Amino acid sequence: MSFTALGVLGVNVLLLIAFAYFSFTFLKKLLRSRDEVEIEKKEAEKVGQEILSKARSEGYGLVQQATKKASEIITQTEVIGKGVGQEIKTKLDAFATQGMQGLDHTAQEFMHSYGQMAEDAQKSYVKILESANEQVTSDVRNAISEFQKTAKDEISRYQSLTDQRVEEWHIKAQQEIETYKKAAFEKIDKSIYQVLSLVAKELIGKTLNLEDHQKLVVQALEDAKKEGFFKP
Amino acid sequence: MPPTIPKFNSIFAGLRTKDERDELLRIIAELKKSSFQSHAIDIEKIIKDTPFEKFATELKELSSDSAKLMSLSETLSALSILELDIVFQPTQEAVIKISEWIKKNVGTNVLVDFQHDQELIGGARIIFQGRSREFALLDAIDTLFKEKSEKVLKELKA
Repeated sequence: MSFTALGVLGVNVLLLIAFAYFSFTFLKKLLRSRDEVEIEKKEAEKVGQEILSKARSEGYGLVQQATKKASEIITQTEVIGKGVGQEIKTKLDAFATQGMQGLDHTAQEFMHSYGQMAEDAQKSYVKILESANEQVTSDVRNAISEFQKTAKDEISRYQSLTDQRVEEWHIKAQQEIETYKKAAFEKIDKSIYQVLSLVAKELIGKTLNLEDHQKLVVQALEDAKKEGFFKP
Repeated sequence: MPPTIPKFNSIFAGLRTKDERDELLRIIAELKKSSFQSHAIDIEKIIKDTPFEKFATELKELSSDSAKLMSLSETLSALSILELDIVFQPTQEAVIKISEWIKKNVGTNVLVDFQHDQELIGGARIIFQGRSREFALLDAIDTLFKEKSEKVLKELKA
């Protein structure tokens, strides 16, 4: 496997790890936002229920207190006359009915407010989600972009390094081949020379007769004299 | 080699090789030894089968003079030797021819010493006065191949 293939494989693995990491971060953030909103919603619901329950309880308390007070007044004013008492009772009943209606109205307004709050919370939740999504998307996009750039640079660097090494190897291999060739040719030349020399010597040695040998010795002496070998 | 004893010029004139010189020195040594002995020495026996058989008379005269023997011995020992390493066994004719050439061109007091060297193929290795030089066919072939190797190889590769 070449250096380039290894580099690309390494970059792909790193890209996959980066994508998994950002996906995990995004999901974690998303789930956390949803949980928080749910908790807020439940808390608001709980608070609303408590307020409503408290308001009803207080409303009924007031009505009962008013009824009780009215009964006492009625009892005290029985002396005034049965007709007046009846009239007051009727009015008190009307007052109680009116109070109950007011409480219902208040409860309805509260429910409306609660619904509005829930809707706002929902919108806020969606907005947060969208914002988080955009942020995460942007982050991931930037990270991937940056990573792609780094990976590209790395690949380019690996490529350049590989090219350089291949070139160096090529030059070195050529030099070694040339050296080997030169040595081989020298060896061949030497062998040829040795063989030729040996053959020549053998042939000449066998073809020379005694007279030739004597002539060669005298010739050697003549050559030595010419060279001045015998001069002191 | 001017002989110090004119009477024995003929002996010196016939002296060609170191082996002959050594043989003559051996004879002189025998003669010197006999000069100290009481009984007569048998010179014929000493010089029998040597190149000096024909000089029996001269050697007999010399045997009684130990001073002359000493002088002759010193003169012989002082002769120059030219060693020739050659590949063949020289005939008497070759010995005479080569010796004459040496006496004529190198010096009359120079004797030749033939040594056999099978590796030479032809020609000779000459050793004289501490110097050595090969004028052998082997060298000629080597020189030829060294000088002409490129041309020879080129011809072979063509």
